[in-house]
Amino acid sequence: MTAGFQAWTDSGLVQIDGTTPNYALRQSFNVGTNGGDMPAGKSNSGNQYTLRANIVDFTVYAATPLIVLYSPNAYATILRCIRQEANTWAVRLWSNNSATIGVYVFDQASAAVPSGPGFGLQVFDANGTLIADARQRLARVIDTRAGNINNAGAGFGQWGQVDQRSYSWSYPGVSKIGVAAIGTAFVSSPTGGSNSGWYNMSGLQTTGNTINLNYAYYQQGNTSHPGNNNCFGSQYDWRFMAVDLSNI
Amino acid sequence: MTAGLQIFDARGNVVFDATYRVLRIAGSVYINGGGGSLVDGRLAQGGFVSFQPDVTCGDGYLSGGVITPRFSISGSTLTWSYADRHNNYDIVQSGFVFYGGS
Repeated sequence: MTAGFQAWTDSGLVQIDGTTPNYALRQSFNVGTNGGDMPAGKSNSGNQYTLRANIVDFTVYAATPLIVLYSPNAYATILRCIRQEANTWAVRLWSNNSATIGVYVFDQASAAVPSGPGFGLQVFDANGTLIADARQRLARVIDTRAGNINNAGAGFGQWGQVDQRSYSWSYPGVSKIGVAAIGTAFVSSPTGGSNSGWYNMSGLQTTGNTINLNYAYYQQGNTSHPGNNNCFGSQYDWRFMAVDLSNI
Repeated sequence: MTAGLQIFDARGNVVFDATYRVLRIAGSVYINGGGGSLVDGRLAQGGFVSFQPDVTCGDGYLSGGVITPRFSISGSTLTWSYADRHNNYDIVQSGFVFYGGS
């Protein structure tokens, strides 16, 4: 770059580079999950079976959304985030019980410009596009974690049923932590058609500066507990990024 | 801190300083089965991947499975991969990937 503004960490890592947009908070709101029909598997003829689960659907308006969840009362995850058209995304969340979940949507700085009078520092690229603004809350990464429930390779195979895995992380340097860039471990089998079967799902609970991951077994209707799962090993993958939500 | 940029909110809380690792959005790519990679120098100091799945593992066929992607960043290279299909009832978890430096 020949002109403009850059910022680095005290260890020499780039924070603002003068050309690349930063992730900035665009909006935050609460959603509530309630009982709904969650796809759990299809017959060979394409008949979609569902199981009852606590889910919620909503729309997010963003160019490049980074959706951060804060869920102190339930284990939650993002099941899907589908681009409907430019800057419009259809999001579905799941949680292990009916709960209110905080949603924080970060986006390109230029798409998240605060309303009202300007003050402080703004950084623009050479084309005049806003890439950082002191009025915005930038997404601060605290940690990233990933794993696989069964330590499985990615390919298809038969794996032993796991009823539960639990992990916990604490971040004492912040007062409130959220989870983003979530990958969900999810295996399901509607053994008796809709409303009869089982699924395993990973969810993330966030309370204060602690993140708890729980992968658990959920059963309904007339079904038998599985001894094994036939699926792709990558379906057991989980991952998340811990994002500082303090003072938002 | 002894140097660098500090930003405070209206209540005087520090919301940015020289210890903060923040995300820079380098780009996006849509993946739909099959592996791939790209090179971006902004990943070299550490990078992030944020995948937006189009389908869930409950959308698959009972006679098959859902092939979900895996990601890795090594140096300036972002790589994604999908396992091979095992039969015609497998489906792929497609979606947009946002990536960048952190």
